Amino acid sequence: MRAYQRLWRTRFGRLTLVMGAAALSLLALTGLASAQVALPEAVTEQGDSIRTLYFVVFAIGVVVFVIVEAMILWVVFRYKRKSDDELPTQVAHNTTAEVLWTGIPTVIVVVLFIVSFFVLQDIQAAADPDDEDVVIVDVQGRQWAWAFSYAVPLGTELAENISPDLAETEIHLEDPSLVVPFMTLKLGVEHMRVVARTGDVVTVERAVNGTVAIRHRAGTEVMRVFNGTDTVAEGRLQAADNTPIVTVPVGQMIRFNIASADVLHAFYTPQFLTKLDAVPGRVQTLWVRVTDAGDFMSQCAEFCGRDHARMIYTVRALSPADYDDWFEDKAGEAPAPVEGDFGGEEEVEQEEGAVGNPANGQNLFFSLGCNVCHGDTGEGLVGPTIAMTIVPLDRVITQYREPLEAMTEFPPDQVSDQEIADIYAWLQTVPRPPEADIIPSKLAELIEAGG
Amino acid sequence: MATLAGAQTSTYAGANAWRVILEWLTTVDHKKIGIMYLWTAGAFGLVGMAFSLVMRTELAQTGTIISAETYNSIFTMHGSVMIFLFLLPVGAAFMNYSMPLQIGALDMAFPRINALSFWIFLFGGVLLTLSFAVEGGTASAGWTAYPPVTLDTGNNAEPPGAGMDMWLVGVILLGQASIFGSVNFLVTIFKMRAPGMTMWRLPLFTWTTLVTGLLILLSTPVLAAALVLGFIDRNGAEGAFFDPAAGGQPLLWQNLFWFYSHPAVYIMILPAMGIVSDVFGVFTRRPVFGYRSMVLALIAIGLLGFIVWAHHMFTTGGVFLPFFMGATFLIAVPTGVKMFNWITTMWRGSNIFPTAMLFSVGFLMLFLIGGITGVFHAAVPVDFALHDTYFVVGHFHYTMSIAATFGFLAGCYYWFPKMFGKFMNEGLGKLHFWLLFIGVNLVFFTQLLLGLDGMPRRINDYVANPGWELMNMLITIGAFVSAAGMMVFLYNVVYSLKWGERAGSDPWEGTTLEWATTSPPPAHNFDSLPEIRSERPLFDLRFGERLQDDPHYHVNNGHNGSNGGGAKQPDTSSREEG
Repeated sequence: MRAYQRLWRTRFGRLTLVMGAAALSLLALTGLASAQVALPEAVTEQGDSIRTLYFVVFAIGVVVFVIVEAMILWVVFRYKRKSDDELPTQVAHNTTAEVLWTGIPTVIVVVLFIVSFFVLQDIQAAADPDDEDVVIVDVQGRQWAWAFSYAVPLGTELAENISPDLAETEIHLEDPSLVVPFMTLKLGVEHMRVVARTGDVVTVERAVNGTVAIRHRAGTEVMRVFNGTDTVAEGRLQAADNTPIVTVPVGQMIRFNIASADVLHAFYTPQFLTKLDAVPGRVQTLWVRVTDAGDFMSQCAEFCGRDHARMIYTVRALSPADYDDWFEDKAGEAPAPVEGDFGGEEEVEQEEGAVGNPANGQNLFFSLGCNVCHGDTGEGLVGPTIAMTIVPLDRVITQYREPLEAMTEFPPDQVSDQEIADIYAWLQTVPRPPEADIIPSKLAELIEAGG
Repeated sequence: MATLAGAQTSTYAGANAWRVILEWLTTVDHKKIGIMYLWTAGAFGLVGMAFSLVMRTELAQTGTIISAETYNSIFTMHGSVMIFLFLLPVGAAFMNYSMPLQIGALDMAFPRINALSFWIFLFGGVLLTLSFAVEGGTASAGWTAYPPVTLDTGNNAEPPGAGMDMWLVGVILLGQASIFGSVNFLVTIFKMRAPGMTMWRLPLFTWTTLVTGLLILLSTPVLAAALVLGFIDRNGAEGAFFDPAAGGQPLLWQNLFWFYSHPAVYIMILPAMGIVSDVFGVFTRRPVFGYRSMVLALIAIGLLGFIVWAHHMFTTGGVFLPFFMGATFLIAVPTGVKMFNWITTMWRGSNIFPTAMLFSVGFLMLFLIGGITGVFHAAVPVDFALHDTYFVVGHFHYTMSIAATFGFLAGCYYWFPKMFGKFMNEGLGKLHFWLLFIGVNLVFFTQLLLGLDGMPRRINDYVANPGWELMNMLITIGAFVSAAGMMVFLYNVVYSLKWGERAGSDPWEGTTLEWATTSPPPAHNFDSLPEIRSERPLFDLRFGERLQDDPHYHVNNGHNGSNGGGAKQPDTSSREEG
């Protein structure tokens, strides 16, 4: 108290105290306003562990802060020069004190290291698929949207080993009749797109959807991938009126396989209290077990270019029963087997020179990222359904150059008229979804109305 | 000698303006070069601050005022300018100006290389700034420039234009300037010390210069390699190094980049630590407590700084986590030692609080928060939650940005009388301190809270959320309060240069050799040097006799008998006659 009174007597001291008090109350106001000096309530088991560790670090941090800050304020206010010729003690070291303030922090950080190490082991632990059903969700980050896909067994196995190094590979399946054009297959964590089938040989494009080409051994189960991205109607941000939704069950171990089709992104759900980068060229794994049902706002956390701030998504956690219903509905029936060969060189050559080259169009469709909004077969996602569109080609070209609605503008140096014609040609070959699943397009409505 | 020739021209009465300008443009005097670094870095610092105000105006509320492209360009240039053109060169300014004076040297070991390093720095800075004028604008992928968003990979939606190349080349040049500077600092400290100035008698600021020089020398070439690979990737090799589609590896960039940029954090903070150490020693009239443990802690920080780079990459999935977590935790120990030593220096001291001392105490308080929030990030699972949120933005600003800036401002108030022979105004100085202290805490403490709540960094707009809107508004207010503080500082500099009270050669009762010469010092620095028997030769001169019977006096003043590396120095006493 004496120090305080001494301080109050000087003009500078009063200024210090008043300004200090003002600063503190401002800070307190900030704290109250946010009511948040902790991480959000976790909705996953792993998040709970992280939150507990946070409180351990927080408690130690607060104690250290208070002690050291008090020491600083004490020496500042207590020890002032009283006269011009005053000479203080010249004590320049003290072994006991120095050993203590080296030793105690060392013990604290060693303890923190041990605790953090075990929490880390705990939250990174993978589930054993033999013990429990693991829900696998394939996450693909793209500028500037997310796509979430799931897979169901196709009922066939790989018949021969395949190595990782070819962009387009011929694979042999036990039962090749199950694959249909443009079907996405999944072997391990790799996605492949069916391009053609000639006799028993299936030609696939490797490492699609941002996944990586890896070695596969004969006997690997082949899965059929389906897009499980839902959208919400009401938006939270301009230009993000439809945020993609990833649906997961409560209570089951979930394995997110995180991939990127272009640049770095990060899968970040604040209420999971964790994040993992989507690194092109890698497929990374994040394990969580969700404990609470609900919708959780999430967003990309690694800078990825112009619209990084708009790369928002929602995690929707459903009860196991609701999830099963949702899953069955989304997965639908396996497509009916297609008889005979499809795809292949001859067909492409026949098309060439006509309106457009659909094989080239298909490549462009994916490399330009059209599938992010319109779905892998133009079935419609955030953007409208464009499979077998009724809009004439010249109007489609105008749409690329001067887009109606929210579509990205594509100038001619990015995609030429001929290339648009190629994409258009490919879109005429893909199946149009049933009427109930069509996502309407204002452009198509205008055309239908005769505009 | 070139320095002496420069001194002669400057003494001609009536030298016209052109001659003065020519003299500054051609100078190789470490003091003039230091002052040029200071003005240039200060100007860039103001530019960087202006960028931060643009960002805060945009983020004050949801919705957008400027386009996303502009915002991305501004936050990238804020980071790049503040780090490469303000914090690093402002440290170089003080190291250039004060270190040779502190060791009693005539000049740097290589005065011409010293000048070259300044002009390369200036050219690199201008190149970065000019990128605003090219098509496509500046680099806009953050100061970390993580590929592949910096590359034209074919599937990057908006590949950056020539601005990105200018950024890469500009930073290569700035790195080259740093390397030249560091060699100069090291050779000067090792070979140019005055007789009696042994290593254990170096002022702590000189010790930080030495460790900083080593860090620059060992880490900057790695950054240069990364930048050259990045340039090749953009101009010919089409991503062969960093684009996975072309066989590259994006995480390689991050490893190389942080192998430099983590030590760079210490390159920015260590000189500031050195300044406050010297300031505490002067204004408490006490020896800096635990001088040797301070030096050892400094070296420990420098060494550990080289094995923690991957703690910036905990969420990339490509890092061996336990090792980097352990090494990162360990850094808390030597920094803690320094903190306790500073506090104990003031304990039972005869303390006075001019503005330089206020900023040094402010440095302690800000660095404390920065250090503690660093422990949150060191704990990997907690970092999974906090990485790339505003918590990390608050954390690193508290340490390497604001704490360092406070240290450098302490240096401005402390050395201004030496540089220009005039005091800075104390009243304005105190106003500056309080405005800035309140402003930056409002900004960065609120950012910590915002980060806990999950707001990611580097976004130009955010989800409408009541907590975030209020906190962002508070941050914006804090940013403008801080800017007002810096305007007071700017006015103080102009005012003091013109009307400042005259300062003698030793206005603060300094302890180190720079106060043993006139203010400003002559071109050849010293007419004579006092005897050097401890790390505080001027203190010994002033109070040595009175303290003769104090058993604690001089106990920690190093080994007598060794004259260190000063043997090559011409005997200074002979210069008195000349």
